[in-house]
Amino acid sequence: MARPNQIPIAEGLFTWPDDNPRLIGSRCRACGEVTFPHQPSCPACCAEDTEDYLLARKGTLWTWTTQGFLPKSPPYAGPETPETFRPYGVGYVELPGEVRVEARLTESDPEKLGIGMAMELVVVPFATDSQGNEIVTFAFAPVPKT
Amino acid sequence: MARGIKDKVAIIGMGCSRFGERWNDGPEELMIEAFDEAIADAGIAKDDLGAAWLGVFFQEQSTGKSGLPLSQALRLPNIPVTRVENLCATGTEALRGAVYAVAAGAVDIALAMGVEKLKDTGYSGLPERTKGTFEDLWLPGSTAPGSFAQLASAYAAKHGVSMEDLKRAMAHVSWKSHENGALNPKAHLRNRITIEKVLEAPMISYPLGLYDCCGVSDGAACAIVTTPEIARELGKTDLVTVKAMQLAPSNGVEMSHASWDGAHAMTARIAAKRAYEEAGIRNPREELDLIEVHDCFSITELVTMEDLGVSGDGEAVRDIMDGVFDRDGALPVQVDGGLKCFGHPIGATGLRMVYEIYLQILGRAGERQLDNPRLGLTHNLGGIPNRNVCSVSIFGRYDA
Repeated sequence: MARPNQIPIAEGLFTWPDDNPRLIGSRCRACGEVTFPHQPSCPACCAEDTEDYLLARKGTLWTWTTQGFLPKSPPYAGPETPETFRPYGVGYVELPGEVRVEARLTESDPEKLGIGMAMELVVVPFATDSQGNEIVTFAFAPVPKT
Repeated sequence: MARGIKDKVAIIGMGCSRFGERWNDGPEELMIEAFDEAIADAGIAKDDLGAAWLGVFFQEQSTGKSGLPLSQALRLPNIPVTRVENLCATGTEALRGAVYAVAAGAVDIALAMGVEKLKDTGYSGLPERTKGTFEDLWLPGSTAPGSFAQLASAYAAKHGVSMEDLKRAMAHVSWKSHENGALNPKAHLRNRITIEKVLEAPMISYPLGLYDCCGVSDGAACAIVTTPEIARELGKTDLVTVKAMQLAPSNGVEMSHASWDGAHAMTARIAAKRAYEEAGIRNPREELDLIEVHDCFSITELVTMEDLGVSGDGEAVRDIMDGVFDRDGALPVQVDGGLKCFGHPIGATGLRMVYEIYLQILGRAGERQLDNPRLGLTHNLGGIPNRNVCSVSIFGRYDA
């Protein structure tokens, strides 16, 4: 659920605020190629005719790791210090028939991650800006087994 | 129809600086150190050079843009100097420029230099300092170790290898590089390590631990190339010639689609196939005598053995554990210590690999000399497993 003072890490990446957020990709009107993030031209057929395309919210974990150290800044824009840093999960999620998306994972325990497991899009806090706004970004979370 | 580069160009001189933390030397000193060795080896004068290529990756931090750093460091006689950059294949790309120029008949003798100076620039190594654009903000915070760690996860899943067995094979890869690096006076890391130490090291990006990652170093390496005919006129008898130079960049398919399984580098397979065709090699495992691969991480070396076709798919773990790629094995890999221990000054790395093949073929590799090698292969993988520039090159005796 979106709260006041939450702003997305970048415009046009995911629908927000939204109780069921979707990643915003693009689809080529000529050949159907899907990309993420949105691209004005198609990398498959070079047509300059693409449309916004909301990606599936669920997919499967394609491969993964845990980022075990604080990445260099720049380019890393996270708020952690070496003292506060905690390893986080990173992986690719395959959205069937669409595209693979590299994303943060909400889970970082190697015992709880496995290729092929069901994953679902979530929006999570990333940092706080100088005005006190909470910057949010997209991530994938394991879908609880029922 | 082009017939390829095989045996059109000979290497007549090579040089390589000591790699490591060269706090007291700039890129100029590193280039001079490599060049002095190469030009003495070639037995020519600076005025004999017709053109030069300079490979530098991090030009912002260290050496500078353009061909000027090389032209000025060596006070070259105002010959054309072209600066090239192609990620971790940068040094190999400098050589490809020089080799193509000689093969084209545009110049008689050309120089290829690769250099990287990272250690006192305030930014030792990857990822590249970037401009703070949109893309940097939404990238999920993956790193070079993080990207290659995902290769390990995918490999284990695809081939049904337990992470314990994969970790042990990766540890053997790093142990081997340290054993070899200990015999190389120019290597950055010359200490021996135990398998246990690798397995117990702090985790960097699961499942890659500290010793699964290569060093970041300062260094320079260079080659002087000409035609076999001119080489003979210069009195060279044992000729080392270029057999193949191939480059395959990703085109984005692996990033997007299910056409790739994440457990290998598509580009490496494409470049290797073309290189074997260019060199006339049918069975690389039997015909090659040594290999230098881009072991930025231990898993990269393991997977590359399959991409190069020297191990069958899913069989690299067994070959590594059998010692096939050890210095005394059937097909030694990273005899000089590799990126892991010789070091990884990005722009110099490709030429450093060629330097080892060259020394080995000429019987000049000192304590780590192999028994009469004739044909060697170098491999660079610049970028990440699903978005990279991959080079595969082959060098050998003229009569091989």
